[in-house]
Amino acid sequence: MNNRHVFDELPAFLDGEAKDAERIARHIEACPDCAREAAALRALSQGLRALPRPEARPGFRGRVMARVAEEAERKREPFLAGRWAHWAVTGVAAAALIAVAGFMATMDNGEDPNGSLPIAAPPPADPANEATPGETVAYEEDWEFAPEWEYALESGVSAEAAEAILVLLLEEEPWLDDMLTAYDTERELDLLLANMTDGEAGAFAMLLADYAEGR
Amino acid sequence: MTDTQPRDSDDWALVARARGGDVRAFETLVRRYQNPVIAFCYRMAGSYEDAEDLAQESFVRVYRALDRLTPRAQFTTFLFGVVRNLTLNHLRNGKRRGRDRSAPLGEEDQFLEDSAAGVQPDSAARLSETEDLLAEALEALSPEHKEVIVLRELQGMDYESIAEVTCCRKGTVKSRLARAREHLRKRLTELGVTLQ
Repeated sequence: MNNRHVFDELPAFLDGEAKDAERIARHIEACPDCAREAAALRALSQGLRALPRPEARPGFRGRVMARVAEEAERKREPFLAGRWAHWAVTGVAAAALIAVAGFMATMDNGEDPNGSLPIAAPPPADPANEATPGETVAYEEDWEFAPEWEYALESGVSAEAAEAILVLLLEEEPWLDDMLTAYDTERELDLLLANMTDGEAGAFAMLLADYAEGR
Repeated sequence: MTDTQPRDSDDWALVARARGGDVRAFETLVRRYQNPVIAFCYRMAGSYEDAEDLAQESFVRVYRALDRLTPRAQFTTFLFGVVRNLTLNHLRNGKRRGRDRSAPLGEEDQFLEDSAAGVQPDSAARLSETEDLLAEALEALSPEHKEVIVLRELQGMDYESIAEVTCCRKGTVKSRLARAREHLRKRLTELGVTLQ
């Protein structure tokens, strides 16, 4: 009998995830301290599982399906069916700028703790439009946007899209190391795409293509 | 393993039908998962209104993604991955706006009364004081600790599924769960609650 306490192993054991469950079970039977700890953890689990769970109110499913019907209709609209290739390059550059600005706005309430973060967005037509931390960047008024791009703008750029595009643009920046590792799995990319609107996914696809070409 | 795993092959069959234009197949998925999704969002966001909005938007985003989905993992881990991302964005945006997300005392009772109308009569029972304090302690956890607790204890997911949903390693899930439970117990002790 190993008399060493198994406190650290108890959570996984009680979750059915311990590697050596039989050993831990035997120890608990013989050790009052660990048995007491296990009982406390079980009580916590039971308490959490007993918490009330809200359920959908009448009409929820109907509201979801009304939105789904709108989406189904939008999918049938011809301009979204594979015309991404016609997007203007300037539109994509603007996407990146707006995305960068959007992402920067999500960081620390727009305040840069280091004073200045390295922003390396694609070259804008006017340096005045370059992003600075926490500042929303307006795109050039005289840029011509394809209808698809206008749709993307109307849809808004999500934080996920902004974050991913920022990573692609600023891959060489060392302060992004942690963020880069968050995007190294296919699974993460699937989730990322699933959270984008059609317009965002189009912009993202274009940026990926540009990025691959430039490497 | 999750509570919903046996349904997984059926879920993907519904996804395939929905992708082919069968809206009723997607509606079946919504009916099947609306309550777990709302429950997750509620515990994460702390507001029933926000939870319903987040759940609605999640289902719409899953619908948009149908053409890109392949049955490589459980449908529920994909679904909750979308739900989780939206919820965390919501929390970040709320924090950025300086909004107080914490549910005022009594709101939990109110959502129970609202959501119980014709849905789950037994849910209408008032929370006991212990449940109230436990909910308060859960609410006080950081999002990364709260999400693993909610996915494990309220959704019944195993470590592997939680790792997929939260895009981290299984070992990270294990350590976060252990820390989250420590925080909960410490907070409950401070509140004078003894769970038995």
